[in-house]
Amino acid sequence: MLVGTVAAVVAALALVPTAYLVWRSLSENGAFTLDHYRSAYSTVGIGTLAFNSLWFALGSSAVAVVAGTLTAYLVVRTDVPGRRLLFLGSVAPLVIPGVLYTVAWIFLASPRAGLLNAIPGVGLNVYSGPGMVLAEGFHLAPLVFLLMAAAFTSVDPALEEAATLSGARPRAVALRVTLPLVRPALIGAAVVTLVRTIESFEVPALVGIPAGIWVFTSRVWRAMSIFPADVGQAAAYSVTLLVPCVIGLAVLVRATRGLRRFQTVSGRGFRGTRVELGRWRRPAGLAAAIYVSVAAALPVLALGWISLQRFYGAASADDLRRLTLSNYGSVLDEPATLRTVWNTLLVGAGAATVVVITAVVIGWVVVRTRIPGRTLLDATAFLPLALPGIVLGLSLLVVYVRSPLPVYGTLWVLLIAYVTRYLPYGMRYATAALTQIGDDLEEAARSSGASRLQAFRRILVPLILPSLAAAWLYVLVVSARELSSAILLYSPGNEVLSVRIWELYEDGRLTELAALGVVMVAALCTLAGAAYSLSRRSTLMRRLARG
Amino acid sequence: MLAVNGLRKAFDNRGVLVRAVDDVTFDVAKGELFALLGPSGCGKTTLLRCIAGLERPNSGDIVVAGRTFTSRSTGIDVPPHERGLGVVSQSHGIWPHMTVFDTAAFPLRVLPRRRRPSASQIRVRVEQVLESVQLAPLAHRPATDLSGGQQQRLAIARALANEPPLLLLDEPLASLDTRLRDELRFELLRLQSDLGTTCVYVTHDQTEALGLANRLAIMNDGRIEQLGEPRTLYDRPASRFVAEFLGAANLIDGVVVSAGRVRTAAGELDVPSGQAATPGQAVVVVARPEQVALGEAGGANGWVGPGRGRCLRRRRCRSRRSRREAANPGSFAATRGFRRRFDRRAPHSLVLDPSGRGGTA
Repeated sequence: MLVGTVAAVVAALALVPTAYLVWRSLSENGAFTLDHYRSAYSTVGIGTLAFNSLWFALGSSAVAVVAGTLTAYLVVRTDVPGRRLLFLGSVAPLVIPGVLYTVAWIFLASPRAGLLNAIPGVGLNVYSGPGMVLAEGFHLAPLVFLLMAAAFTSVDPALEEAATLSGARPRAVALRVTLPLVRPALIGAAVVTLVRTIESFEVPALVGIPAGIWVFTSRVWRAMSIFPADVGQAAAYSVTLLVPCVIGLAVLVRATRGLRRFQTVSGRGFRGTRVELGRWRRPAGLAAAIYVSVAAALPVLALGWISLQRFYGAASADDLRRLTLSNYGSVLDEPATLRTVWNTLLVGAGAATVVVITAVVIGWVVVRTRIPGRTLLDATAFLPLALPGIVLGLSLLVVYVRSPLPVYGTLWVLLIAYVTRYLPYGMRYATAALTQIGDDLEEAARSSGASRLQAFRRILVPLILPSLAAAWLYVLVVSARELSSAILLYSPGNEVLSVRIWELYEDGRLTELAALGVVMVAALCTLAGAAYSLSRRSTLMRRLARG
Repeated sequence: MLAVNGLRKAFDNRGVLVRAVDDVTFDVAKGELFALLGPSGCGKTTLLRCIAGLERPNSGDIVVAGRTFTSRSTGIDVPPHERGLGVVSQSHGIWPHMTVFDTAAFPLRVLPRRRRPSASQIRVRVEQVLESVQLAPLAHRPATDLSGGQQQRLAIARALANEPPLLLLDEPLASLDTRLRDELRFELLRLQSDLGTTCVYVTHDQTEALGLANRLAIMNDGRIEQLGEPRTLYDRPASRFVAEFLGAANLIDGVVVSAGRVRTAAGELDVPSGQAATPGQAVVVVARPEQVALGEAGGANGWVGPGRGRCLRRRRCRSRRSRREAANPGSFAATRGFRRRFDRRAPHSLVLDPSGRGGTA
């Protein structure tokens, strides 16, 4: 009964809006038409759009995969100096909202006022293909870093040792043993970044549009931001965009299925010795330091610097004498800002709560029961992964504008969007936690006379509580970063922080934007740190539970 | 073939210095099967990893076949992949992304180009080595499809592929079940005698060490307690630790009265020990169960065990190979003198066979 309800809710969240969207792209006033597609691709040729999306996705994925994999390898498997710092620097951009990260790169490398361009002889232009690729790639590298660090950690060091002892030189060990062993994870990471770059909104909108480089997501945005909004055309772009995302998700599911065979962690034996880099140790450390300063430190410093300026403009030495904290005062005093912070927390906490509860129930059904259709339930809960944020936003808009429920124009519609978008992540936390706790604990409770529900509530839930708390904080953090689905769904008075930053950018209030951004990054770092330490503790607790 | 000299290796375990290998010196002759035996944590695996080059010793030299691998005094340290040794570890190290053939061919394929055999030579060699461990029919299976015992044989084939001068085996049978272990132990002996490869074999299992080794070293706390042929170590243990670790032993504290005579708490005993002992010296008499017989109270060279004699394993008391054990404070094991019906209530004494081998430590 409960399971049926959950299944219905999940289906309603993911499938109904998508179906509406497809229908909307093919109809006008109830009649079937192909006009939307025709108008969509007569404005900008589908060839150009596909080509731009493709090189943007491939280029930034390549940057992210190479940077993320190399740093993960250095941190996890080698004796490179400063590994803790490198670790922090490699994951830091993950916490910075995309809209802030993009704006920070505009601060750094816009041709007119870019801070880096104040250095003589430097002529960077973020409003270009390479600029887009690098900004997006650096922002996604932490995701690859986390996936690959996990993969490198799970490689049994005995396998690498066996290769060394067979006479393989360090390079041969890395290429012939380590790399093939992490290949499934590498494919997974590449597909994830490809999908994420195809659905990326912030860089294409803030950098791509001024540069005249259009991709699908920015076209959806443009179709909706002109007056009157062309919903049909936006839907046509969105449906086209769904195709590569669904394919990517299917590839991902296949790739991770192959992963299991390769997970060969042995509890026995020695902790793996790190690869000694020898004379490459210092150069590798230096390269890593440069990468971290460019990808993580520079954007944050740029936000900090701009937030202390009176005016936004080309940087000069005089700026140093004119620093001010007034931006913090003015932006934080504004009632609109406070309302935004409140909205963000409200929607984020609400979404996190709904996601965690739903994920635990679905996860429990999938992991613990034999109910038919449970794998289908699992698959349905993962579907939203293939839904780009802006497409999700558009489809919810299409559904709820005409729905009798008074949802549109309130925070509720944002809540629905976030729950849909982050359910898959909550699922991942929940199933991981549940599979690691043996059946025997619940069975002991059952044989002590507890009902199934009591065993679930009194035994399982307390044991996975730290995991759930970590999942809750994670959803709170990522929903505070979220812009692409919110951008089409917010209404005046119902803005969230990321939307507020977007508005400040549109209004040209850049110094205040930077101040708000600094505060936001600090808050998100605190939350992310809490989530990290909680999930560490929960691993410990699970280990204890397994005995 | 292998010379280890004054080897030391210490780890820093959260501020506590652990001397895993503490001044170890030994030689292994060509063609010998040498075992390092000791309880877990005694440093035997660390010692083996130093020889393989996976750990860097703090001091000491390692020389294999005339080539210095490690010498802290001259700063020589040959990296593990250039040592050309064969290593079989407890965890097998079987790569999940390769076939059986690829696994065994790996050491040949990663040789430097000028020393690497041609593809056809590699094929011949790999088929031969897989044949010798009876894996040839499975050559094109994924390596992880093999059973535990087969994986271990594959690990041995890989270690032997480029004909190493020295084969290092680290508890190679520990992860297998008992029946497989016996089978593979026999196979290892056959391989070793066929090929004449010098082996260093690390184990905590005395049956393995005694059954396989020409010579063995017993390690404790990072040091070699005693080194010699299995029979010598069993008959003439140099320390209480060795006596207790190898086989069952009755230990009786005493003081030497004169050569071959020891006064113990239960009376004086004739101890036919070859070891020199001066009168007045405190010793431990080691009486193996097969040297101890059950006799009538008051017989020659007999003593009454502490407490009342009681057979703890009643069912087997009538057979010769039975044990008589006394309850607290110490129990004794004896396997002789059980021809008569054993009366559990009658007083008995234990007789140390004066003609048999005894030991002192």
